[in-house]
This record gives sequence, structure tokens and C-alpha cells, in this order.
Amino acid sequence: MFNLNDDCLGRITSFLENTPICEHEISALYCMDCSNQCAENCAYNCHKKNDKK
Amino acid sequence: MATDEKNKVKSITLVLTHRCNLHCTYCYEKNKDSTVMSYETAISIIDRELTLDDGIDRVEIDFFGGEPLLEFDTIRRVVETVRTRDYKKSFIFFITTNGVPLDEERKKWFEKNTDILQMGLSLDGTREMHNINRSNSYDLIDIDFFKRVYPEQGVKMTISNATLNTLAEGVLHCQKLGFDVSCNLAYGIDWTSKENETVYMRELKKLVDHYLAHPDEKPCALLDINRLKGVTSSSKTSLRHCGAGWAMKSYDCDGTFYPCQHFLPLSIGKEKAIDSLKIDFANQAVNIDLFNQECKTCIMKNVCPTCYGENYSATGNINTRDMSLCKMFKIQFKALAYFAGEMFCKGLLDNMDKSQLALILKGAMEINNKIII
Repeated sequence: MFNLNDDCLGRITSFLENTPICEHEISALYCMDCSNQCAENCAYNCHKKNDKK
Repeated sequence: MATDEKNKVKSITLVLTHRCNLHCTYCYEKNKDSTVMSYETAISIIDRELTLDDGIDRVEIDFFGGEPLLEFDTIRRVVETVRTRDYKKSFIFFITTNGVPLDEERKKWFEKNTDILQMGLSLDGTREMHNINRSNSYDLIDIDFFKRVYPEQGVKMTISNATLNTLAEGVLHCQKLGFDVSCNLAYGIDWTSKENETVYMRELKKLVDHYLAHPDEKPCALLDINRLKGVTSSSKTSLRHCGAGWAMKSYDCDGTFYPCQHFLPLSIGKEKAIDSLKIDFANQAVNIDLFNQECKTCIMKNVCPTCYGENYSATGNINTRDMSLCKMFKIQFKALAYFAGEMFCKGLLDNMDKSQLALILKGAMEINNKIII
């Protein structure tokens, strides 16, 4: 279960060969918006942005 | 630390009470008593944090417990006082609640204060799942209130051993109610069994198939493909997985602060909690040389959502990981890699920024090729 098929792997490989990755982006945790928050609540905390004060 | 921008935000947690009106099956707070935080202690902490010259621009103030709404009078006094004061730092209050201690008067007050106070509800799936985990409290919650007053807040759904079997049904139930769903496997539970792994794979596959068939729906946090971005990182900065002991502070009822709520006496006992104050998070939390051997070479070391508090509680060391969730995390990331690859090949990610997409797919390839489940 969860193994990508050869056709899909080929298409991804081709895309990656033709798309540069900015190294600056590779400091990301799985959530770039709340990397200093609690990992357990990561996505949850993302919603806290709407402070009005 | 991720970037300078990230350093400007801090999260402080005020534990208003050790009491709770529920007895959730997976609760990690094993040392509850009747201790509460006084108004004076709370306001003095907030005053100090909002006036500190520490380079922080914004402070998120979380009321925590126990169940924080059991101390509603303190919450109201604090929020109304802080509203009248002029601080340079911006702030927002946030409460994670079980949603039960809310009468009409309280609801009206919360509704009037949404500009500076948001609430998030813990909802563990369907009525049956929620009642198994959370003391038969499903019908005691005004779910519509949370949906109407806090439409941008998701629900926090915790999976226990007893509810894993219907994980997908629970997630889709909460989404049908209109909520984004942030779900996680409960910490502090031994998940290491072949049966759990098989059931977890089956439930994640159901969710993946559902989201592929309904690309207009936002996937739950378990299947947020952005998580794959960090897989290929070689930077030590990405080894820190939360702000414990750094951008987070958790104040106990007496005003003593700990690295996060998992390090409180309420959670791990007084002796261990006091010892935790000696931990040098600035140096230890990102030092791969201090990892246990198995994790040092793991492809998932940069993205494994390890919890320093759980590590400390289980092993006495923030870097010696509690391995009880290891295989389950690998299954989750294998599902994520599959989900991202399938979405790409079906053209469902065509509108995404190419550089971001490449990061995701590079991570997906690594996981697909190197993680065997």
C-alpha cells in the first residue's frame, strides 16, 4: 500500500529534473507558519493569525 | 530557528487550573488537583511578557488547564483588563476547550470578544468516538456555537487506541460539520502493534481515496502534503520541531514557567518538572549529535513530529525519542508521499508554485523510495 507506480514516479522525476529548488526554502518544518509553536498543535495554531489588536 | 521573521512571535501558556470536568482516556496530565491561578498572577505575567524588551512583536496568550473555562471569571477579568491597557506588542488570546462549561451568558461574552480572543474545540470525531475518549460529552457541546463564532478555527481531534478503527469516519464527520480538522495520534500511548499499523494504513488509505475523489475538500492536517517539504533538508535549523523552551513558555498556576505544558508538574510530576528547568534547549534541541542512534540516520529525522515533553517523560532526555509512535509516523509519511504523487499525476497540483511543489515531490520521492512499511 502507498507505493507510487512507475508511470507516476517517472513523471515526478522528469518534473524534478526540470525544476530548480531554492535552497532557502529547505529550512522549512512541515509547517512554515508556526515552526515555533507546539508540533502537536501545528496546523491548529496556524489559524491564530487573525489577531486584531 | 527558521528565519528572523519567525523569531518575532512568542507563545505563552497560562495554566489557569489543574482541574478538569472530563476524564479523557489519553490525557497526559496525570497529577491533577484543585490548584488555580489567581487573577493577580495572570495579569502580572501578561504585563511582563507584553512589555519585555525581547525583540518579540506578537504574543499568543493561551489559557490552558485542566479545563480553562472552569476559571471563566479569571479569564473575563484578565481579558477586560488587558483590553484597557496600551501595549506595544500585539497579542491574541486563545483557549483550547472541551466546550462543556459554556452557558448562554458566557457565550455572549465570548462572542463580544472575538477580536482579541479565539477558541478552539477538542472534538474527537463522531459522537461515538468522542464519547469513548471524552467522558460521554458530545451532546453537552454546542457545536454550532463554535462553528458560527470561530469559523476559522479547526477542531482538534485526538485519536486513541479505541477510536483508531474509525479514524477516517471521524475526520469526515468533523469536516461535514464544517470544521478544518487537525488530528493526531495521542501521545503517551503504546502504538506499537501490527494490528494498529494495519488499521492505520487502512484508515489513511480511505482518507487519501476520499480526498483524491473530492479535490475541492481541504485535507485534514494528517495529510497536509506541505509536511513533506522538510524531508530533504540538511539544515540543522529544521531539527527543532516546536518552540518548547525557546519561543514557548508555559506558566503553571503559581507563576513558575516551564518549557511547555508537557513539562509541568501536572503532567510529569514535580521532581521531573523541576529538573527540566536545567535543560539547555538552545543548544540541545537542535543538536543531532545528541539524538539516539536510530534517529540520527533516519530519513525522517527532520520531519518526525517528535515531542520533547513526551521524550523527556518517557526517557528522561528530550533527544532520546519515545519510539512508540515511530512506525505510525512512517506510515503517515508513506501515505503523504503517495497522496502527493497521486495528486501531481492527476494534475491536482498544477496551480501550486513550482518551487514549493518541487520541494514536496522531492520529499515524496525520498519517502517512497526509502521508507518500507
